Amino acid sequence: MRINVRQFECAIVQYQSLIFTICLTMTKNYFDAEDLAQETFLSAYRNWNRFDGENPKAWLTAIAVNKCRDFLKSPARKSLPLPEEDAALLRDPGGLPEEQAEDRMSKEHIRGLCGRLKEPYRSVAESYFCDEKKLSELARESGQNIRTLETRLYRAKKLLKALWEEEQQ
Amino acid sequence: MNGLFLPDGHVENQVLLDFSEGKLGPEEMLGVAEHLGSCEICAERLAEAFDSGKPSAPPAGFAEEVRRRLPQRETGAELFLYSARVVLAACAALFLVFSGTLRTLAGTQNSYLDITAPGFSAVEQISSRLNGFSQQILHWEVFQHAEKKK
Repeated sequence: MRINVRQFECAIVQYQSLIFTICLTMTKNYFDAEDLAQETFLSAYRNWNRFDGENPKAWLTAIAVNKCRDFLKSPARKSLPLPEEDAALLRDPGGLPEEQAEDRMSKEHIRGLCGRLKEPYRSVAESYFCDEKKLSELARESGQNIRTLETRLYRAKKLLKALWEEEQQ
Repeated sequence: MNGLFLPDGHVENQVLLDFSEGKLGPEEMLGVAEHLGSCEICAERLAEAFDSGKPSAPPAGFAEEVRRRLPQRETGAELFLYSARVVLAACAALFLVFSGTLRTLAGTQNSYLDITAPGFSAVEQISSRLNGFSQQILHWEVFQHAEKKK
């Protein structure tokens, strides 16, 4: 089936919560879940010619489950220990994890984790994960190049995944 | 894995509900996921189980980030139009060079000497044909643009 980009973009908006929730439930890591949910849609886009067009919800669900399953079984998924160059981007690299929040998925807890990053990673992480800002909005407000912000967000996510994992241990 | 699957090989309803609520142990979850990844019926049922619960919203910028990461596809039509524009630019450049327009723009006076002018008829012919060709490409592009707009 030939892809209609506009329809696909509607599907992202329609199913993003479902796919994210599936990934979050399986990985129990907010930042891994966000990454895997993105990968689910990208994989769906790349393989759209294999889709019969009948049931996008079931198809996306299957892709998300497969992505998470492969991720959980992969030995490379462990983020710890952080490489030295990454640890240097934390505000207290040798510090103990903060006292565990009751609800690890709460905005307060996620903000607390973002707060452990050094600038410029902290502000982009807080804006994206806590303040409901899109990167394009942040680029407009700050005057910074969106590619720069993307790179920072990518790096911030890597650190946040490790911090989350550290808390779980 | 006992108790997870029905006799027909599909996943038990309660198991799907437990899956959606994160109540399955890691081994059980992976075992069920193995089936879900290739069974449209159970994948649909799992999605419904999640829909009946409390969904978690991704960050507000999620959809925009996915869109940004989508591969940029160059369709055949776009490549053709790009090539047409390149050819048009090349034709326009040749036309300018051979038609004397440049000299006119520079404002240089033609000096008339008593010299037999060399025969440029072949060049003029080529120039005229290229001009006609570039006009055709221009009309084609306008037509394509109008079609796209429809």
